[in-house]
Amino acid sequence: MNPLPPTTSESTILQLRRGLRPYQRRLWLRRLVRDGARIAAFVAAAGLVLAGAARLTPLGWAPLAAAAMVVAGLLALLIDAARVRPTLAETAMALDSEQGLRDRLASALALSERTPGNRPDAESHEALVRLQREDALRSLAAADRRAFRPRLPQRALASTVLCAALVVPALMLPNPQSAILAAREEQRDAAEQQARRLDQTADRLGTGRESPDPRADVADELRRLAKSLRDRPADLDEHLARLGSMEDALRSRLEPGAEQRAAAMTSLARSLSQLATGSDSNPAGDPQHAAEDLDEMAEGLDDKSPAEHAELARRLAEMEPVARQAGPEARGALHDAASALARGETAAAREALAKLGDALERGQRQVDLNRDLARAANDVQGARRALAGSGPTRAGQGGQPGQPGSSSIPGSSAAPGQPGSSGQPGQPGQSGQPGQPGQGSQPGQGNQPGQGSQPGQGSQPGQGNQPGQGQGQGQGSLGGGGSNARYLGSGTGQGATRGPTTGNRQFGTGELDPVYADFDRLGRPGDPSYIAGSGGDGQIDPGSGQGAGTGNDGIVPYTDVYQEFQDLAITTLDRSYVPVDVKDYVRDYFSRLGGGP
Amino acid sequence: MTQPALDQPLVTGLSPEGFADRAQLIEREIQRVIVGQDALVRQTLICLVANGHALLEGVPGLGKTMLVRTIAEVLDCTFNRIQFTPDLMPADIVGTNVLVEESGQRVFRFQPGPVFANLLLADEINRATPKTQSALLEAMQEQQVSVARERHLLSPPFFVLATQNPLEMEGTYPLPEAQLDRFLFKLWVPFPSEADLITIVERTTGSTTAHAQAVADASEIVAMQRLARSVPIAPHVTAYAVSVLAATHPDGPRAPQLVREYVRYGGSPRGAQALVLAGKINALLEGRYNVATDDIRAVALPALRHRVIRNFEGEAEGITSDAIVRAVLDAVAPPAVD
Repeated sequence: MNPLPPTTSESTILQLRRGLRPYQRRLWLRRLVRDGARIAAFVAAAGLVLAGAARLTPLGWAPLAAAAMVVAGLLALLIDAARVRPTLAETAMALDSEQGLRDRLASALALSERTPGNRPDAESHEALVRLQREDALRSLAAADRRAFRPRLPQRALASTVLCAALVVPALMLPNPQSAILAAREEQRDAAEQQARRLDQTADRLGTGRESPDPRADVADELRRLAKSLRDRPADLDEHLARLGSMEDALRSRLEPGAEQRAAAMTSLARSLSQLATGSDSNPAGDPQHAAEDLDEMAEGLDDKSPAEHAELARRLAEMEPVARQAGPEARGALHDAASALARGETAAAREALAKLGDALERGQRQVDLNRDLARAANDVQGARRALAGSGPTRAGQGGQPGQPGSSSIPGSSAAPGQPGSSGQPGQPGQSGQPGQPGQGSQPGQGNQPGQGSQPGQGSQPGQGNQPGQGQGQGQGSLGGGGSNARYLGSGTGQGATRGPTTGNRQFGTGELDPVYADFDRLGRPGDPSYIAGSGGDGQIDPGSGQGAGTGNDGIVPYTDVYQEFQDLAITTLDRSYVPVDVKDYVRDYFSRLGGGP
Repeated sequence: MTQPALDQPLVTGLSPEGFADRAQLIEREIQRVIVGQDALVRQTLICLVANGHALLEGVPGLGKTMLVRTIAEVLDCTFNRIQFTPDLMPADIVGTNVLVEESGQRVFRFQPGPVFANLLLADEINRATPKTQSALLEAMQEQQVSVARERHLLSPPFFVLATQNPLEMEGTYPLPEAQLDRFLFKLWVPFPSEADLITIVERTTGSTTAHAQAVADASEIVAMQRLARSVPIAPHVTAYAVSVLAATHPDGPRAPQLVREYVRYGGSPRGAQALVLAGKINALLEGRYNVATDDIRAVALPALRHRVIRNFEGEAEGITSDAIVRAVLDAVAPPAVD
């Protein structure tokens, strides 16, 4: 028998470790390929689920989630690459298994890390260990160099291909949810835009003011609304409700005859300044300026003669009708001043004139407050309209047909000195077209403006289960004529959901479009509508006959109708649908006329 | 014939190649007499080199006794045979003190029993009473016998080959679990194939009978036993052997369903020792210097089949121990890295 070989050397194990390195890298690559395929399959499956879900429900974050999946997959692969890097022992074990080496390599590596200890057969054990290492080294040398070929897991590969094949058409085909997402995006933008608008309004109202000034409270509420719009832009219904509620609250604070009172105060202030100074020193009708003029006049009362006092009293008394419209306080002070002057009591007259000046200034402040609130209400209304228009299209409501239009202002024409033909009467307005019932889920399209001024015949409300939307309106065809359609685009909801309508946008107000804001909000029964008629086609037929002219009853001096026009205009201004700057313009116009002959 | 002890240093060097050569020589010589049964011969040799004992089970006439006799001839070792019968007494096995006259004085002299041999054939061991069967316990485990307060060492190698007949169970005394556990292997002697049977018939009915020659002696067997124990085994292979054994217990974490349902007790720690030691020898016989998990799996059946104690349901439903061990091997896969 051969004796046992001498003690083992460490060089064999070093060679063994060195020889295992290439296999270690190949095993690492195989694991990476395997895990990469599995991760890819997982990502593809997740992408497929996401794509499917994105076609069933609007997922605005779907692209982000898809990108996140890919990134997560790459990250997982990166982490996995560090995790699955095989050790030499693992490599040896795997190579043993793949090449059928019967644990030679793994045993050699494992035994190299163990000390023999004090065993009685240490010598023969060491000899066997050395032999085992050499045997392992021979086995390693004979092993296939191309071992650990990367293998793609068939199931993962099939899953990846299948999912990818399904994802591509899911991405390529039109997605019905895209329109919803676009509408939501538009809604978010609109919410942000209106939030800025509300913030600007709040800044305008609240700057330099503190509670209990109602404008400060309104500003706070507007800022809360703006924040809510930014935080939850999708809660359209809630925001519309809050805006509507706030608009109602603001309008409820408005003094109904504020503009009429403001016009009266302006006129009164201008008249008082003219009276006090004898010139048109206050053409704008500034109440403060008038108060100062009254103070000066009061100081000079003692220098005036009784006749001048009487004249002042008379002229003050002439202003009482205007003062009555300016408010009871102003009227009372004016009356007291006139009475005191008539009695020659200059002290009482001075006191009354001072009160009159104070009344004018207080009235002006009230008017300013009213105008600020009105402006805020208009802004809120505008924001509400913009938000309603930005929302996803939903079924509208069946609109009531337009009410008959009628010419409320007669057309007129005149030929001075010659009998002339009067303007042709306005053509009868055609009936407003009834709102067509909504078809399917689309909102109704009945928004053609009615023509003519005949009583509208459209009285059919939107019918059918599908909520419809309709609108009709009369339109005067005679110059100066106008429709006073009582109801505009209003109706009772028949749909399950109450959605903002968009059809009203096509409504036009003719030449007055720049003056009147588009009336495209959802109307309610009882809301007054003031729709100007379009310019008429009245013909002027100049007379050709000769002879003595006769009085033309058709000629009416404007002074006779001035008050009527002014009342109507001021009443109109008190309504909420006229922008503030237009109100100022109209008020100044009549104020200037009032200061004329 | 020298009788070296196992715990002594190796005096006569034996290389692993020499081990394999010697083992092949022994196998070839045995196969000159025993036709077929290659696995049985290999497993018996493993048992011998592992310094263990084997329990052979098979129907009569399959050559169990012939196998043992042939091994004795091949190994040039002392050989005794005990035919176990119900009236066999322990003293008939281990020996007894007899009164002898020496130099005019009567003294008790120990008369060794048949257990004092290198190879002992315990034929039909289940026919003796448990008392007699247990007489073998000390000899098998401690390789010594105690008679009248005196210990008598058995000469290595001491190899017990017990046989039992699974058919004629009436009037037998099944070996208790404690005694079964002392057998390294329980070997099932299969019925030979038709081709082998033809060869057997031709060999045994002719004018000449095949005889084996001695190719190894006791000292070489002891050297082989010591070399086998020096074979290194990696920790993961040892752990696998332990896992296999643990899975034979019904409450083991990796026990298969068959074990949980039909096993009353799993293998003892001797089972793990048997797996590892037999695995080492199997590796050497295959020309390797390390134990592989395949070696553990190769010897699992003979090493564990008699250590798995079935419960009543298992016996009633005819679940064999081999099926249980196979289920365990299926459940406990070798450590693998992919």
